[in-house]
Amino acid sequence: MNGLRQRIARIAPLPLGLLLAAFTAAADDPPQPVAATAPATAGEQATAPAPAADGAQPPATDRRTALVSRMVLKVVNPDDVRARLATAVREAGGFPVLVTDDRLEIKIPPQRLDGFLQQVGAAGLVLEKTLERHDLTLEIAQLEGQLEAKRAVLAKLRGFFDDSNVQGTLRIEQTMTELVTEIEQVKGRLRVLEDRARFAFVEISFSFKQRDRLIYVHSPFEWLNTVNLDRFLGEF
Amino acid sequence: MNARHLLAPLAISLLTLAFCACKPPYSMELPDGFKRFGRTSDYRLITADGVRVEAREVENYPAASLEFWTEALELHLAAQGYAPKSRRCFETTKGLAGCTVDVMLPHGAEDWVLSTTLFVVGERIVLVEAAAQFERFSPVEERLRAAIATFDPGR
Repeated sequence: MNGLRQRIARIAPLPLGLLLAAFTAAADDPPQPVAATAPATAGEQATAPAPAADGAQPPATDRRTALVSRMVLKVVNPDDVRARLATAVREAGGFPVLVTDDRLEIKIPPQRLDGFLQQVGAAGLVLEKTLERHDLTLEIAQLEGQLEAKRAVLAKLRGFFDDSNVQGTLRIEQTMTELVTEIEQVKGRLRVLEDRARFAFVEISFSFKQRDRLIYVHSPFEWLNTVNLDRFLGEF
Repeated sequence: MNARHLLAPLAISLLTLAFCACKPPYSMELPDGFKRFGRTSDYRLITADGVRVEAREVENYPAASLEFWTEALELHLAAQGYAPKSRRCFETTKGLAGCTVDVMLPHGAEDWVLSTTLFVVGERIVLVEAAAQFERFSPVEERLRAAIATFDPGR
């Protein structure tokens, strides 16, 4: 905000006091809940719930979370299983993101994730399975706040055109251009976060991802140290 | 009685002993698709596509139960990074208790199954080990299990 304030302060020959006062007022405005403001464009639909009036954290059900599940699934015939799972994903409202010989990545609505993971588990032998949950609520709220503040500044800058000369107008335009760029960047980050919250991500590998996962561990029971694949294949 | 008469029974005894020593004490029904492999003193089986089975034995020291050794084996393999696949305990057709621990591991560019079946027989632990790529092991897995259920550790 300070950088922006300094940029505005350099705009001459506008009445400096008036400009600073206007900008300070805009920058100091607390971020308005997105749900309570009209979106600037059709593509800027507010999807986040309005925060609680007393500033408390939103209830758990309103939180925006990104779900990421990674599985290593062993199947005898990966082609068949991959095709079946891709069909199941589409039926569940999701879609494949990446399909290769040994990997399938999909996005699926979070509410259908459990059922889909059960289908995956039934399709073969699950060797590894992780489920990560990232809370995006704070990050989304911060970006929405930034977006609102920048829009407010942009709106105020528009009002200064009437009172400025050519040089001042050019500088206001330059500042507005920078602001628009920043707004687009924030909107882009918001879209990415909204997408992560809207779809759970599932990565299914049909073979071990980590190829060098074995380490040598010495057992006090000597014969156990002879139970390993290398010895078995070497002596066979 | 000349030396020839003395040596003849000795030679027969030695030959008998040698024959017994060459023959592995283990037996089980040969699963379909498997062939005996290696020296006659070994108990090794193999399929055309390379699924390998071998029986061997180690000393039951410290003397412990099947459950103890099965748990020790699982923990040891897990500590090394093998991915557990399954654990199955059963009785052979002759009433001997055994447990099979199957694990998986990456080996080169492939994922392999290492299957270890334990029988605790007095002072011996008899191991029936099998290994192959997952895609080759899976089709013969049931046949192999059925054959191991007929395993006789001998002696």
